[in-house]
Amino acid sequence: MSVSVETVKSVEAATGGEYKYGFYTDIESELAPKGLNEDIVRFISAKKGEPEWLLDWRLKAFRLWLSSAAEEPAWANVRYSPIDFQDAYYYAAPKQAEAPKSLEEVDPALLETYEKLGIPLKEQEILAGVAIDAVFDSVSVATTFKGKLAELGIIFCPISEAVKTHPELVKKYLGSVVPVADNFYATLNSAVFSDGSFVYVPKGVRCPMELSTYFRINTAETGQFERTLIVADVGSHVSYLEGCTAPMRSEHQLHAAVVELVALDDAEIKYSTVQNWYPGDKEGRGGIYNFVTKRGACRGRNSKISWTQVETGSAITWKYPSVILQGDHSTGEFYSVAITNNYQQADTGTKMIHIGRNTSSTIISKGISAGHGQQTYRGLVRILGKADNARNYTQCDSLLIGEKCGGHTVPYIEVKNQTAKVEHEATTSKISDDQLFYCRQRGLSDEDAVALIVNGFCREVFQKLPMEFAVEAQKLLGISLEGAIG
Amino acid sequence: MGASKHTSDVYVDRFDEIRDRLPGAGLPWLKNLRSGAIERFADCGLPNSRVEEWKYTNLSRILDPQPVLAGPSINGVHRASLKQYYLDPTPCHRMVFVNSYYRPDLSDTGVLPAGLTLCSLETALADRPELLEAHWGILHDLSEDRLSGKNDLKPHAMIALNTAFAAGGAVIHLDHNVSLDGPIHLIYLTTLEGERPAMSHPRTLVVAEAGAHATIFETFIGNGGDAHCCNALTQVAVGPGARVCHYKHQGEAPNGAHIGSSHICLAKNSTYNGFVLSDGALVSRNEIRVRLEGENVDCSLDGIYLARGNQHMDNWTRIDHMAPLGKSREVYKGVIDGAAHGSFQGKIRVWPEAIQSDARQLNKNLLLSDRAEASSKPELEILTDDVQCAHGSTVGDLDGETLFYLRSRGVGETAARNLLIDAFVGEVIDNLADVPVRKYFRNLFNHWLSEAT
Repeated sequence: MSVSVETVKSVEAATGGEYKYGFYTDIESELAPKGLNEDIVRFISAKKGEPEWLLDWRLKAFRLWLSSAAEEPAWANVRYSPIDFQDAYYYAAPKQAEAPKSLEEVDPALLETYEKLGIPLKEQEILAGVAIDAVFDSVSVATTFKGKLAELGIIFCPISEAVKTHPELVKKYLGSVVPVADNFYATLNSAVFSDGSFVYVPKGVRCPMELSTYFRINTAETGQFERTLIVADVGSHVSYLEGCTAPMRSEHQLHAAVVELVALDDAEIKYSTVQNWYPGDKEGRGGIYNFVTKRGACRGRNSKISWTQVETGSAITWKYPSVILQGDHSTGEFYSVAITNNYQQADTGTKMIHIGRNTSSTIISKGISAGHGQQTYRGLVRILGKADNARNYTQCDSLLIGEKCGGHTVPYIEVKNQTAKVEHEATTSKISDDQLFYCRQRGLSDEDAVALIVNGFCREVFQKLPMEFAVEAQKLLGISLEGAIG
Repeated sequence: MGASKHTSDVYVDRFDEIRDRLPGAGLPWLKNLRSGAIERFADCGLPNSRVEEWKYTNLSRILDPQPVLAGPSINGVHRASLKQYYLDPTPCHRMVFVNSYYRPDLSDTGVLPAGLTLCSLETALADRPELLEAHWGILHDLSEDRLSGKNDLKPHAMIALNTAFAAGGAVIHLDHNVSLDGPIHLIYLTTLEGERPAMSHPRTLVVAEAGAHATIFETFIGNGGDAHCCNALTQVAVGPGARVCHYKHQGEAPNGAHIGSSHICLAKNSTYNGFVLSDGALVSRNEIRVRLEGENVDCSLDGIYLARGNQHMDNWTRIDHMAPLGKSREVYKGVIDGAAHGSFQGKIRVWPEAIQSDARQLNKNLLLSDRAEASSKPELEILTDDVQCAHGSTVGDLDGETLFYLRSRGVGETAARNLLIDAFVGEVIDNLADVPVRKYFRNLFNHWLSEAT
């Protein structure tokens, strides 16, 4: 455990304990005109050279978004001044003459940005064996390890590319888990999504490496609307990692992503996120509005979808990675650590919809709130009438640090089947004085003691993360809670 | 929306007809309160499932066709039909209300000890209007969402309706350090108005001054199989160091509807023990709001809902810890059979000032049939760090292995099931402090269990 404390220290030393990723890279960007109208939607579609059906799909979404049918959700336990959707850029691409053929052709300044972020693409390519699709503002910059994956028949490419190379797959699955009319932000995303990752794992293939996407918002006043679609065919297995950062800016930026997962018979998808968007400064100025729709469908028998998330960033987080358990014997999991410090607000949780027989789901949520942070766990467990022997276990714990913060728990449990077994438990408390006293008596400083206890509190979730991410998550935890104890 | 708007118009028109005939119509403060309430109701309309607090309850099922507002008519209710609801064998102060109007001929108030005021709303408005004025106005402060600053009155439409129409009910006042030997039993019976289902709006006020101690028992019933709707509101103010045990039995007629809300304010060092058992009505809702306003308050809030057939039972509770050192305990258990739907929505809010609060909440549901449905939404809203709060919720069937164990010991299927159901619910009933009350609920539960098909 002392390792983690040390790591926190060294990271603090290197960064002064402030937001580590708050630089921005001076790369010429190509921007669409500010604002949002049908022409912008057409512009984005044209820029991407999309086929007609996708443009129609986008326009349909945009018209729906304009109509009163799509209403900006107001039920979440978060407060912010209204967003002016016309006062943002909906498309920003790093300017480059031609699409890069390989890593060597990628703008060195861009690569340096990633270096600063701690994900040297080249190094990771060789050492870590992680295949990365990096999305910079809205455009996918480089996809590593493509060749090796292609040998196995795995498709891992920017979604804009998949639209051209594998239209039948994209057409079949896009919007099938999160329909265009799902919610306000998903509808907006459907209209203006710029890029994202597409993964297809063919029958019986076990993806030999972790697939990874790194998202970064670089340009000022842009919104990022990425769209990720992962399809795991019969008997396949894939683990996918997602990381996010943004530079420090005094104004708010919108991030409204959609992630769709589809698991067929006996397939398994593991999706891990470390979300570290810029959270705003100590007075709550600036920061990312992270309004994200993530949903997975366990379509096949015996399929499994597992969400793991570490949410340390964003001024406001609004995110409910969900699983629809359609196939008999399918499994859904949700492991989450969320931290809100200073004036951060998070309303996050999950939905587990049990439709098939013998389905089971597990929810472990750990919330840490400090400073003026406000955090809500909002979850739904719904067992439908046909879901015999469905099983759910939910545990939500909140840890509060400081008298000005808040931790809230809002679970919905709806059961329509007698044979279901559903259990929910939640606790809220502060770090006990006894625990702190014990640590300090052993010579640990207050900060180290808190880091130690908080790491212990989150252990169950960190254990679910792939190794590299677990280390990063622990570091982030320390940085995020900097200054919370005093 | 259009339909509910239309429905609310009917109530507004009715209010205009009777406003001058309501008791206390001459009191300016009451006049203002009532007209303000009907305006709020007209703005809000009847609550529907789009209102978060009413998510699980659909009122249109009971308010269409529209019940008529009950008047003070004689409805052929006799003592004999009430006997089964008496608390036995304790002497108690019993008041009976038919369609919310006090019926001295059916009541036995006994000898009232010094320092106890026990009378009907009409009498209280004539004799002690200041008491009502001091407490009725408090209900206006229902501001919901402190965090978002939203103040939505829609969830409180039925409370507004009660405020506008309440024409009867009980008023109970205990002076400093007055302690009652026996419980006060209030029986509210709602029945027909002429030939049509009646809607009544009984309103009860209980004030226990510093150091007083009382047990209040409310029974809500119908008359035979008649459809009716009872929209009750009970306010309890517990003074410093006072103690109130507050029991409620919702046993309305099978076709009836019950919408009850209780508002409890607790001053420092006071104790409040609340318990509700619901086994009646086709559609019912119990709303309880408790405010721990003073330091060091001890509060328990327990409930049992027994639903079968097509019954719908909604339990909604809200506990506000507003001062340091408060303690609250909440256990709600539901047994749901047939095609019934039982729901629980319970919220605990710990205010920033309420350091060292200790709150526990538990909701357990037993589904006894493949068509039964349970919804549960336990909710914690914690705005300071120095607290201990926990909640839990479960939904499940009787445990197969336990059942098998009993069967293997020669216990019959039904007996084994009943034994387990009894163990599930009995725990709550057997913990009730007052013996006659415990007996009352015990008998009730045993009867319910024996009726199982």
